[in-house]
Amino acid sequence: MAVEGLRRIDSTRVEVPKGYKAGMRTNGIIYVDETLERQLEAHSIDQVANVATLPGIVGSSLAMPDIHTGYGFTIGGVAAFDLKEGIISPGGVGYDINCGVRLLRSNLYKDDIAPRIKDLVNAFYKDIPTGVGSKGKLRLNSKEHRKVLLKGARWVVEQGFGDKEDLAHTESEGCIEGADPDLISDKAYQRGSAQLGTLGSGNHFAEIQYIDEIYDEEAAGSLGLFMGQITVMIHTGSRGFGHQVCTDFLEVMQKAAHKYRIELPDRELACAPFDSPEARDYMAAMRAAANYAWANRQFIMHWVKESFINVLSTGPRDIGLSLIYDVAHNIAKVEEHLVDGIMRKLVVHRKGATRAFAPGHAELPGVYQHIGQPVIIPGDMGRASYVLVGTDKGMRESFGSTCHGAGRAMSRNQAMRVAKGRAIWREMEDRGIIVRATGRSTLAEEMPEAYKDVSNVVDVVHNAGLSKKVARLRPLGVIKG
Amino acid sequence: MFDTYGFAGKVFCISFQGDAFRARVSGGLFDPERNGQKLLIKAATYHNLSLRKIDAHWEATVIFDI
Repeated sequence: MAVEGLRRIDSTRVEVPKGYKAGMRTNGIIYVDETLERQLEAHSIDQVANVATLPGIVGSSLAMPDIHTGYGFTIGGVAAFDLKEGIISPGGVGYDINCGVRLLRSNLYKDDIAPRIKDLVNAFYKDIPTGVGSKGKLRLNSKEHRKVLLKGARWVVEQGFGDKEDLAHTESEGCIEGADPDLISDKAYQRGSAQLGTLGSGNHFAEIQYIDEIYDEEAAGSLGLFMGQITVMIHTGSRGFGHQVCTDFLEVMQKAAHKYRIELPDRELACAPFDSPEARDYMAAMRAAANYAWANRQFIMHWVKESFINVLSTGPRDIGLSLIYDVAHNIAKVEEHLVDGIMRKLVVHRKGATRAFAPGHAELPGVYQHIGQPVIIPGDMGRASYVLVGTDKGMRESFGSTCHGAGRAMSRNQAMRVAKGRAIWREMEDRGIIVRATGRSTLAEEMPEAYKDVSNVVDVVHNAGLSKKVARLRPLGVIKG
Repeated sequence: MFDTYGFAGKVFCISFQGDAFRARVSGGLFDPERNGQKLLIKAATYHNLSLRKIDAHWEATVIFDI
């Protein structure tokens, strides 16, 4: 049944018309098929409409098929703003700044390591600090912390944890210029000092997978992917550091919105004109947190490689773990996009949405120039994850953006109620998937049915042409926070 | 305190003095083996934030990011 007030444009898009809510400056577009449309929450539709009221929005207020209610902006939201007339909003980035995913390929086949999955999962659990308030193996002094914020993954590579190839295969080469460590609060420094190289809690994970379906042989070949191959996916962000930066700047932006007389339908949409001192400060602090997150994933990748070497008792060359790509899915970036035939600089907010640049884009490394940017889409721990690539149509329609995951179908509380009395770890083991989690309730909150089916979500962005399916990955073993 | 030092509070004594309050918290270092890991509040949000007076009391609704 169609949602009242929405208009279906075609099989993959519905429109939130400009009159859906008072004050909308443009329409909203939600990428959903009829199945996912039935799962839309009223509040998330309101949030798409709310974003459309913000000054200087360019094009439509967009939402990807993994849409669900967030704070201020919906999760799965994409919105671009003019640099002169538009705004920047921390709510359009999210609390976990540069939460993202990286995918590693290997030389191993599923059958090579099937008997060792439990050992590998246990090694991950031992080697990668995981869970609520987990502390890393590192404790940054003030000077090192500032370098992480300025240089991101580059600093980690300089310390010997990785190589230049890793940086080439990371969005923004693992470091956005323009970060300013002087704009970070003492509290954020304190929260971040012991958390670098840690996975954290909630939906963050490190997962061993294998490829069970290839959709695009040419792209898969360029990415070094083959059937039955073992891959490893890492999903985490900027930990307490990023949360604190967001919290600090929400307060700044509340005052800025008042100062610049920006009417807000929701306080979590607090924002400032992009061309203002408050916006410049937030951008510089957000970039610092984004760099922290890239450094975090770079360290964790190192622990993953160590776990494989220790468990399989073989050399790194035989294992062949190397980074395919690392993507941010909570970030705001200044980018150039073609709008109505004119190339314009815009600030693109992606909150629970992934950049998906087309073949030939200058920001892509040489090896991916002809296939487009790799897009890594994690699903739930029981079903599947996907690799896709960016497309020209995505550049034209969604500012080079696509979905970021499955999207929750149940709240954490709902999931806990549904899981009561069940041993989720055993259910997963019966499906051939070894899971370990630190938190008592994590497995219940993260059980597969708590999420939408990622295959449906990915089919929508594929059919809409926002990105193109390359391969499907099935889970074998996972650690969660 | 928890994120930075791993401090987990166990006993909380809170006394109110006019518009202010004084809190004394005692506890120790968090031990995941002994203490068990539950929810951690990562941020307090403005999402659906409300404050209303009910008779002689004020009631606040605050949604935390966990």
